Amino acid sequence: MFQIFLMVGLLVFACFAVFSENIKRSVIYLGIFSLIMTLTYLHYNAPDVALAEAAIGVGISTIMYLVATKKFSIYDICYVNEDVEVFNDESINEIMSNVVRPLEKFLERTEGFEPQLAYTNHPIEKIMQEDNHDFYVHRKGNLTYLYGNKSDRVFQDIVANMDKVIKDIKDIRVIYMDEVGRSERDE
Amino acid sequence: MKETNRSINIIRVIFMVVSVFIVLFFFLNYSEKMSRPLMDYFTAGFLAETGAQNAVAAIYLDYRVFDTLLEALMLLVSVMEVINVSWAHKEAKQYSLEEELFNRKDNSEIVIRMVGAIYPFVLLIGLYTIFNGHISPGGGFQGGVILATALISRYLVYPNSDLDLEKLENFEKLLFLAIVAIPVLYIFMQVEPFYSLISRQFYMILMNSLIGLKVFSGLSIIFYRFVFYEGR
Repeated sequence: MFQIFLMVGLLVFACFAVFSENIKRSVIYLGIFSLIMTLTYLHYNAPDVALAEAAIGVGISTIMYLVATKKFSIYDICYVNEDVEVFNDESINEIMSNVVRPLEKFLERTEGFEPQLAYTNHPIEKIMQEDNHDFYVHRKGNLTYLYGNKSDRVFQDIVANMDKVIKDIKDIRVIYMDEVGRSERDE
Repeated sequence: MKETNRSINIIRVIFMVVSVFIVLFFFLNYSEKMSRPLMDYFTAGFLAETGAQNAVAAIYLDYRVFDTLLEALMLLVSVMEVINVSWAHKEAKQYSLEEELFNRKDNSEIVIRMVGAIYPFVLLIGLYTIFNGHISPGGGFQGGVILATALISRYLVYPNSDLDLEKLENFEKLLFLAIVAIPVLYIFMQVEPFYSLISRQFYMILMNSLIGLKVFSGLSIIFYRFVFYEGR
């Protein structure tokens, strides 16, 4: 019984690691896979091999992969919604299916960038002054603004494939930050 | 590039085919009859013969120490290959963050504090695994990997290259020489001051710590090479 549990767990986490959308999640799933592998070795009375698997699979290779993904190119996205009082898991789950997942998928499949999202309810002018993100999604009432640079190739692609990237939202305005001067943005 | 002669190529092919047949002939005709199974031989009296309470340590440090030597050589060769590859098409210059001595902008405070707190415990468990390798599960390789994990997690906290990799490389080569020399003296030539359980256990601990230090320095070199000499 325990063996079947271990084998099914191995299979499930191997599939998770392969089919996961996000690279960092894959690395963590691989770590869990190695942990179950360690348990399997222990179950079959091989503690020396189990120790080696724990040290290499969970320890060193996870850290190595995480450092490697840190050096991987990342596209920095900031999602701004000033209407939300407190940004909790519920409000993220609301936009998960129509904004976040398609955007992540598009960036990974077609652009080869690792998306990194930040959520906030601070006013957008303040965020633009303080932080430097590549791409802003700003929602205000029924309107959705996309902020980006015209020289940015990835942003151009996102605008061109808008119907794939952002679903179920009709009113979208695109604002090129480097064309719109600072004086207009301050208004 | 000079063209090789056609007849030389034919001679090479014939030589390879003949040698393959000779090896296969000797391999298929070789048979050694043992009075008892190999498992019994390894597990019957390993404590009295080798001084190790862990049968695995008895095998890889005494009965089959030749395999261990070649494994250590394999790690040395792979480290040398990594050094060779990471120099290719690159200037002989180290990437280092010189303006900011302590660059913690990209790192989260939580990771820094937690790694700092866990650090001594990781070192302790690595040393324990090395020094108790002949008694409990573990050994030089596992302990060395745990020590290397401690050094590598240091990169997450303090991503500057102030390690002297050159010294570490020379240290690793010296360690390999020691790893080859000690079994040759102890096992093959049997140069021992006195043959007793304590001297055997001393040999086990010495070999385990040497292998542990070698694996530690080898994996650290590979990691820091990849981080600072490859990519952006």
